[in-house]
Amino acid sequence: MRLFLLIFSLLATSVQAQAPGQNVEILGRGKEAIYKAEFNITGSAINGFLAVQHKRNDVLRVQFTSPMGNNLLEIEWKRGKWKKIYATKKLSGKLIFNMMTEDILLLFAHYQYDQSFEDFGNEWKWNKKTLEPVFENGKLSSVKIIGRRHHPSKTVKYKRGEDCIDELSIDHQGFPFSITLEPLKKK
Amino acid sequence: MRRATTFFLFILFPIFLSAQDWKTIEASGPMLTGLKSTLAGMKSIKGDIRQEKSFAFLTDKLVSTGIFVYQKESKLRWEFKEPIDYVILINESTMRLREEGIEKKYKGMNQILRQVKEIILGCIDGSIMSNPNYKTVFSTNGTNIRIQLQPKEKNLKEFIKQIDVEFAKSGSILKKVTLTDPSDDMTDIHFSNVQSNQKIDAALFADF
Repeated sequence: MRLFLLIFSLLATSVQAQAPGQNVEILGRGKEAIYKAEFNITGSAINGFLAVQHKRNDVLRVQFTSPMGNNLLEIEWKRGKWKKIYATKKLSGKLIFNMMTEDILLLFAHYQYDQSFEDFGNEWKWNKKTLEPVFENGKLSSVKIIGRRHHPSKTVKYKRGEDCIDELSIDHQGFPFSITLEPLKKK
Repeated sequence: MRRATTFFLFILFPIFLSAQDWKTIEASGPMLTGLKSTLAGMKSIKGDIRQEKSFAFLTDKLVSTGIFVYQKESKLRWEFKEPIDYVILINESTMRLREEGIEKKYKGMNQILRQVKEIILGCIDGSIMSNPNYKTVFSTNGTNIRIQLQPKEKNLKEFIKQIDVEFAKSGSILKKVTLTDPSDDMTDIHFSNVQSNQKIDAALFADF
């Protein structure tokens, strides 16, 4: 009986541990997409388009442009670090930049490709934070991100359509900062 | 050996020819004087716009389509209908912005929008040709006149590397504007169905 329970618990753990690889993919390796984007930063909204490329080596290239095509932000996530290629003054302050770049990794669930990511089944650990994923019909529908003080600090939500994600958003609790993305291809 | 040389010449000849296509012209020459005089006499202009934004790392381009309507002095409606509804309304000194049906406050983005306004208006009415904030090079390929502008000021350089404006030689019609970002990404704006000096409804500039 004990052996049976041990095998069963090991099996259950291994099934849960595989979850990020199988069900959490937002933008798969080798894929790229353009999103209509709204950044709400401390009360002012910046709208435009977010172009994202997930390279096969897990490098993430991100560019945010205005509707007129001006480059507002260009960054690259490589070997666990962000490289700022270009950022307008409004987006280059340390606090805003760090918050925004972490949010981008959270939105695209790119943390799962990071070495520091740990999967404990019902919760994940990454970047000294606890992530609580919620799945609907086997697909990731939201992730609550809990910081060091054990308060919910931000929430990522995925609105899903029939065959794709219709909207990705991240909202900070108690701080006026949010990002909302809608893929353009569905239109 | 001779065959290989002939082959390379055959391959390189069209490239050499296309590089020869654009010839620099004098700012005070008759071609530019004609263009400036036509643009000076233009009271209004309207047409369709197709904006293509290339990203250095993406295979897809971002294509936006819409219309533009301009009336002297400094009245412009620049409207994208796809993929998002986005309107810039310039009525002399005022500038308003609407996105997806909602008017936006552009606090913090003022500098960028001011530059956008100056560039768009300057390209349409030709005033950018004599803007002292840019180094200009004029050229022609026989059918079109091209103005290449590079900003002189540091704050402009951070925002844009180069602007290429193309007018059709015949009729001085605006054909294309290419904006090159400091990161070398390019945005092409193609103009079509352009009509000048038509009656324009003033309400188009008054409200969204």
